[in-house]
Amino acid sequence: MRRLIALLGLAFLLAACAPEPTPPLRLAVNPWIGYDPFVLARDRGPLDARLRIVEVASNSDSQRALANGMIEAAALTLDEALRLADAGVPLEIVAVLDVSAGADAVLARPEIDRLDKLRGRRIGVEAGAVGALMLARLLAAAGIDDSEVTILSVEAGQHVAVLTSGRVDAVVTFEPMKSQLARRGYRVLFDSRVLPGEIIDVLVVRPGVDARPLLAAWQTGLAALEQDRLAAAQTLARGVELSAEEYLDALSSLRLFRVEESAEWFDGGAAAPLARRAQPVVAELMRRGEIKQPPDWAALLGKGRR
Amino acid sequence: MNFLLRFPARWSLPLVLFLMSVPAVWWFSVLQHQEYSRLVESEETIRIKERLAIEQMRLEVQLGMGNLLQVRRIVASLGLRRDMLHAWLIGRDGRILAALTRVELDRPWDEVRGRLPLPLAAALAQMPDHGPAITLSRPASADFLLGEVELRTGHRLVVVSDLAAPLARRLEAGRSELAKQAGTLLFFALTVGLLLHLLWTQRMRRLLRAAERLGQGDFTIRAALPGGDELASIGAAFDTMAERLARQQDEIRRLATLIEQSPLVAIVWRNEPGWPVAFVSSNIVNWGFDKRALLAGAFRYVELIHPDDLPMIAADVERHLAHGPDRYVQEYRLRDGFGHWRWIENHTWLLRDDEGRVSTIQGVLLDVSRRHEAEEAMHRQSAELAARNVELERFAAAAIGREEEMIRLKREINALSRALGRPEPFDLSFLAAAEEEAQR
Repeated sequence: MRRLIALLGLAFLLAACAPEPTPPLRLAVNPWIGYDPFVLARDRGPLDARLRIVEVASNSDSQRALANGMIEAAALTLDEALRLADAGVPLEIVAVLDVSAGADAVLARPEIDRLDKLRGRRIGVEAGAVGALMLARLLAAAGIDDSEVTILSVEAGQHVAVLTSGRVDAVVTFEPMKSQLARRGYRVLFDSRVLPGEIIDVLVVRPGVDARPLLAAWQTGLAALEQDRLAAAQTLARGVELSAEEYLDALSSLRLFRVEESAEWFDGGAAAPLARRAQPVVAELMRRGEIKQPPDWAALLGKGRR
Repeated sequence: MNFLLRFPARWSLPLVLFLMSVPAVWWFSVLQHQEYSRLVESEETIRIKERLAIEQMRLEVQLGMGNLLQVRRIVASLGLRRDMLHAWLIGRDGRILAALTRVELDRPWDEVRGRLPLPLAAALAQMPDHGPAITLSRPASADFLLGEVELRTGHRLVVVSDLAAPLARRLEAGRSELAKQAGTLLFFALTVGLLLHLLWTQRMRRLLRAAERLGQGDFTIRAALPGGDELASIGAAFDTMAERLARQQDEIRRLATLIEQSPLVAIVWRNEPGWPVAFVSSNIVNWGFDKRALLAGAFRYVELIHPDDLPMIAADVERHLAHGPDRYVQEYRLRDGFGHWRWIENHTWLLRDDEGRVSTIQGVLLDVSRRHEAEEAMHRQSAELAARNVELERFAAAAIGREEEMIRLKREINALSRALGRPEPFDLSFLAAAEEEAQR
């Protein structure tokens, strides 16, 4: 009798403990070509069944989706990740994906051939994103005060449209929009080669998310890209309105990190290479009031260090 | 159902409650599944329609501006919806302009559709053209929703949304609810079991123990159940019964004692050949019988009746069995356990069943051997007295004749004396008084 009751009770417990449907692991990537190894891994497949890589229109879309809990992971620039963390969005940096070496740039109408000619002009930039940092560096290099230009907030997906339509005179943008605009004759006034190591792209996840499928996808995509760059470019260029050659050229203006290379940037907590290299960015963000306190690197780099 | 009767009520009642709760929970889960399925489809239809309405507007704007990169990103970002399986923006030339993956870009829609699993490909092929209105449909027995909207630019946005995953999530939430309900029912069953144990089963066990003791012959036992409920009433009725049985037992004991101490032997025969004894009072031992041997059928009753009396007795019994009357008295000789013959006065009454057949023969045996001996002695004395009386009469007749001769002689002597003038020598006046008495 007791055995029967125990069995019935056990059946109820087992029914109550039935596994929950596996939640998806969604990663948002903006048009930045430095995130395309993820796209390549997705399109070549197969991926971990939980993993879904979603291409969004802009950096702001990625940040909004992460802050709103619509995704579990995002590829962001380091300054974007620091802004989100400072704003109280729970996240952890788990990998360095790439460092921009000219892929971020300021492009202007052809007649603007010097930085000082931007004075009095309208500049389109994606507010709250890496463009804001680029703009700050640009204005500093040009000796122009913020008040001497008109800043228009334009999300990345609109950069080509606003500049070609003449609504702005210059735009702070990145690849592939940089190459699209350059192809149309717009002039590169300033790019990230003058900010060596400052524009770093990282992979962030919400706390508690298992990042291993993400890192595996990154490594897979990167390996495929390195194995046959032209074939990869032919696949990826279709979505960014570039030819394969243009795509490969754009790709040469950034450095992609393997997972093991990324791991080296996480050793040492607050003294980790990533934290050390981020000091100029942190200082600029604090100077502009975009972050209120220095980052808690121990919390931010927890998973990447492991 | 008999299975449950194998267990004590304190287990079977909660078990019944629990077993009843299991199909109830199962049935609820079936209804819940059906309800959730309808609900999920309805909710997903509304959500996708709302989302497509927004994307329709955004895409028309971006297509109008010629911003293909933004168009592709808008379509690709539909993948943020966790249940979005596919999204295609099909150009006027029938090629894929935007999709969730880049590998599908610029490919003919028919080719992309042809690579999909058959149910989905077939459903997509059968999608009717509804114009600019957003249409959502769920193919029969499919676990996905198809959505389509035609843009003013002539492009078509087609999406496929999974229904299985949201249903699974809803059911998962429902399972928690079911688990809570099952837990509540189990708790309820256990609580009821505990309450029954405290309120009923403890007292039932007390009543049961009392009944067992009563069944074992202990008429002094009382249940004495507290409370005013039905069980307490049963306990009170039980106690009343026990008291009555105790009194009856006392009366039976006294009666048995009286019988044991009396010359009467109570006996019951079965109406079967040989009249086997079904019951006999213990004082049969006074007649030299072993009661247990008698009841065990060690010998038949008819074998104990004197052979000279048996034919008459058997015929008499057969007559009473057949025609009544059902109460009668017989006398016969019975060989007792010591081997002696006893005269028995047998008072018998017959018990009949509903069909009038005699089922049991009951009787009381009385040893009347002494009365028979007294009667025989009296008969012998009467015969002796009669013989002696004859002799006495003979002697009296002789004595009276001589006395009459003497009276005659005395009368003659008295007459001679009176004739002689002498006084009469004999006084015969008593004769005159006797004659006078005789005349009167």
